[in-house]
Amino acid sequence: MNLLSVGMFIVYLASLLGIGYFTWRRGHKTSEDYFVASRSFGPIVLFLSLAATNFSAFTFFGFAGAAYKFGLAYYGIMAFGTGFMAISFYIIGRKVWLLGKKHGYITPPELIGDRMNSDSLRIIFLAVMVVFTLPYLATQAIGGGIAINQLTEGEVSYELGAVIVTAVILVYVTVGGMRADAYTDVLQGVLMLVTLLAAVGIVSAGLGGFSEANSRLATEFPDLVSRPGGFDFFTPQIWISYMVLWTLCDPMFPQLFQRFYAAKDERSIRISMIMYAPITAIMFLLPVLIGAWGNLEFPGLTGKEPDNILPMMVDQFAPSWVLGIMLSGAFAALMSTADSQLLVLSSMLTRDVYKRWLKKGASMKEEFIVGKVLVVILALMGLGLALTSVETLFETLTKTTFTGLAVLFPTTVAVLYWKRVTKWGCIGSILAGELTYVGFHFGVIPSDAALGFLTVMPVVAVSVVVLLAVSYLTAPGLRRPEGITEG
Amino acid sequence: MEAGGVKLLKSKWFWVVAFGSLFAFSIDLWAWDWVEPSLFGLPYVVTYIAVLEAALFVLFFLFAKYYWIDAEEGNT
Repeated sequence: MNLLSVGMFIVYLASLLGIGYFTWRRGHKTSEDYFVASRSFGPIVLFLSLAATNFSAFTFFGFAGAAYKFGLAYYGIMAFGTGFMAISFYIIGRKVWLLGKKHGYITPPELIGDRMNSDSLRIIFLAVMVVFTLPYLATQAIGGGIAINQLTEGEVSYELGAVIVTAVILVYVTVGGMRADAYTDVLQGVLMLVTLLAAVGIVSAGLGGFSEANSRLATEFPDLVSRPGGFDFFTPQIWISYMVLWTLCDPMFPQLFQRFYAAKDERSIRISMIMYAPITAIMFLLPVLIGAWGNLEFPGLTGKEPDNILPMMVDQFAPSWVLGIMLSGAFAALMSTADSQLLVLSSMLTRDVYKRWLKKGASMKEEFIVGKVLVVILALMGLGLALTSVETLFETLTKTTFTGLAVLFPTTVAVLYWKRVTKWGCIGSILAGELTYVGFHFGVIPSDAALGFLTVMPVVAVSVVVLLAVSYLTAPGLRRPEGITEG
Repeated sequence: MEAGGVKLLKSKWFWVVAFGSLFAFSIDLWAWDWVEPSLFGLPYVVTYIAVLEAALFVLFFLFAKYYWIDAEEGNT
């Protein structure tokens, strides 16, 4: 165990706790402050918080592993698709912010249900978000356990590692809420970028220089610098599907959706949108490069082995204490996602279940206390899932999260913009989309029916068709006026 | 009186076409099998996507500056 790298990691964790304490001193004891920081985030905090929340441990390890297998073209479907997704900051984020400010919304289901005057829709929207987010929370604890185990060279067990990561997140989210969440995101976002830049510098130097590494890759592994890439992964249908997937799915992550409420003004959302293209262009290229270059040093990895290619490459070319810093970057990625998921799950259960069904007259202070209790319970649930063997359910849910959440996109846009939409149209759209997805996933609908596209394409198409058809066939119910001044 | 260029940048349809075109360009089927290295030995596809990201940044900037007007200012 390298004491220097472990020491630096402890400093990192202590910094997070320090930020938690600092934000606790600044906070107010209301649910609005705890869950959306009294709608106070300026452009820098909002942008870095959106980015750090969006980029998870998958950005570190998963991208590198995929690039190892499929090649450099992986950059295309990840970077441009995610960068383009920022158009939704205008289409969805701006409207969500305006409505949240006007009507005091804090959670996504609250807005959707209230706009359509439907508790049924609110519950269905909530259920989809919870079902596809909770397993991901546990995944982050698993990633943390594995990373600490690696950092300490096996001296700290995976289980204890998962407990340590969960405990630190639990402390700063419990005391500081959204403000702690976002301020730690700022630190974590910077750390992710710096460590990845350093990793590319170290690895490319070890391979004889940046251009030389690319040249060797093109010569020794020509399929990894072209399409269809390794394993013939990049078909036109897959390419198109991924470009569409991120645009539909990312804004439906409840932890991203909720951040729009926390903006101080529209300018903050605007600047975040502008900056999203450069951050994805730079951040996503780095792990993809290291992953593809990994073939030059560690050819022939199979199964899940490529997912470790990034730390393997850094370890190959740098002193071991540098690997410790790199792993801190990976921790930053996974913790910045986990803390946001924890908070948004707590807020939804507080506002959409406790306040709506169990105690309608709950004050903001009472919600604040319930929210904190739920943060603790959810964190323990996530840890419990991480430490027990529920892998089958777990893997199914995490693998299906993106498409499962993308089903909510047509309903969200319709509720925000389409005057003719009905609650039955929304409910039908979500149920039909999810059922179609279940059908594909369990083979009831043959995969050939997707014509080579990812299932998100036919699934969302079904959602849109049902939304339109049912809305036109049912009578518009009472909708709440928006009450915001725009034409 | 607004210049023609600025007026165009305030048109909804201009932005629908601009963003739609950029998205369509991201699906570069015409260059599917190009492998020629470009900048720093990176293959065509990486450089192409980086250029599209730069174009996206410029479009977002112009969109935010000329089209996205705060609702609190009374319109959109």
